[in-house]
Amino acid sequence: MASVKVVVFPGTNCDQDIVNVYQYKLGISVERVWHRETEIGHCDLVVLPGGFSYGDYLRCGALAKISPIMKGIKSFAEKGGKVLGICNGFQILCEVGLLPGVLLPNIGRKFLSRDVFIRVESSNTYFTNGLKEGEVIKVPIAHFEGNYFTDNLESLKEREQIVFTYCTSDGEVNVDDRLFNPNGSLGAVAGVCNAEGNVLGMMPHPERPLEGLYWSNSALKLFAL
Amino acid sequence: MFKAKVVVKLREDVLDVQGKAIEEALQASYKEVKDVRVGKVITFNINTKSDLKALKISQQITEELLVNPLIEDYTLDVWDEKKMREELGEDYDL
Repeated sequence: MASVKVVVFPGTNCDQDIVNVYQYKLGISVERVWHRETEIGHCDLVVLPGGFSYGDYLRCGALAKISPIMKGIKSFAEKGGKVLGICNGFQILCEVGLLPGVLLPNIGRKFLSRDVFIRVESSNTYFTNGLKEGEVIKVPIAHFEGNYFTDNLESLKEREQIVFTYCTSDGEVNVDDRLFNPNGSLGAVAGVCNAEGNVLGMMPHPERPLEGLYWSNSALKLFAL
Repeated sequence: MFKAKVVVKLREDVLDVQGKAIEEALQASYKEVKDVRVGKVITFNINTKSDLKALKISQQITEELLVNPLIEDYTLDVWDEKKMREELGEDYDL
C-alpha cells in the first residue's frame, strides 16, 4: 500500500496541509517524521513542507542540513526515492545539495503572499507526468526568499531540470515583469528537479488551492502517487 | 583553545537586498554614500591543542555549513589567543 512521510523540522508549519491532501483528498496513508529521526524507513514519497525551519537563521534551509534525518533523506533520494520540497522544503533541498541553485531574498524586498501563474516546463518528472507541458496552473506563493539563483541556468534548461516557471495567465514568461515573475527569479524559475527527476522543489504551494472554491485540479495531480 | 572568525560576504554579482535598503535610507541624508553591502561575522572557539586540527575543523564547518559558495565569499582566521599574548608579552600595549 502506498505511503507518504512528511518531515517536520522545528519551525515547519505546512505539514498539516500536506497531511490533509494525502489523508483526506487522496486517501493515502501519511505519517509525520520528526527531524531527529535518523531513518526515513519504507515509503513511496518524502515531502519537506513549507515553514521556517530553524527560524531561517544563517540562511533559509541551511541549518536543516545538520538535522539527523537529512542523511536518511539523502540516501533515500540517492536510491531513487521520490522527494518533494515545497517553499522552505525547496530551500532545504537546495542547501543540502539535492537540488541545484539557491533561493535569495525577493528582489522587491517584500514578503509576497498572493496567487501566481506557473507554467509546466517539463512533464518528464515523476511529479509532473500527469500534467501537460505548457499547461498553466494558478497557485499561491508565500515567501520572502523565493528569488531563484543558479550559475548554470542554461545547462539546467538543456537537461530539462526547470520544471515550473512563473508566467502570465496565458503562459507567457517575462522575467522582467514583477507582476508575473514576482520575486525576480533567474529565468523566472519557480521549480526545479534533479537530473534523475525524482527530487522536485518548488516555491509555490500546490497543497493550498484544494479547498472549496479555491480549487485547482492540476495542483492535486502533483501529489498523485 | 583556538579562536576562529569567519567573515561572510555576498558575492559582488549577487543582489544584496539588505544593503540596497540601507543604501536608500542613507542616501536620504548622505547623498555621497554608495554601494552598501551587508555581510556577517561568525566567531567560535575550538577546544583542541592541535593548530592543524583547529584549522581543519574551522575550514570544514565553514565550507559545509556557514557559507554557501554559490552566493557567498568568506575569509577565515584561526588563532591561539593565549599563545599570542605570551609571544607579545604582558606589557604589550594593545
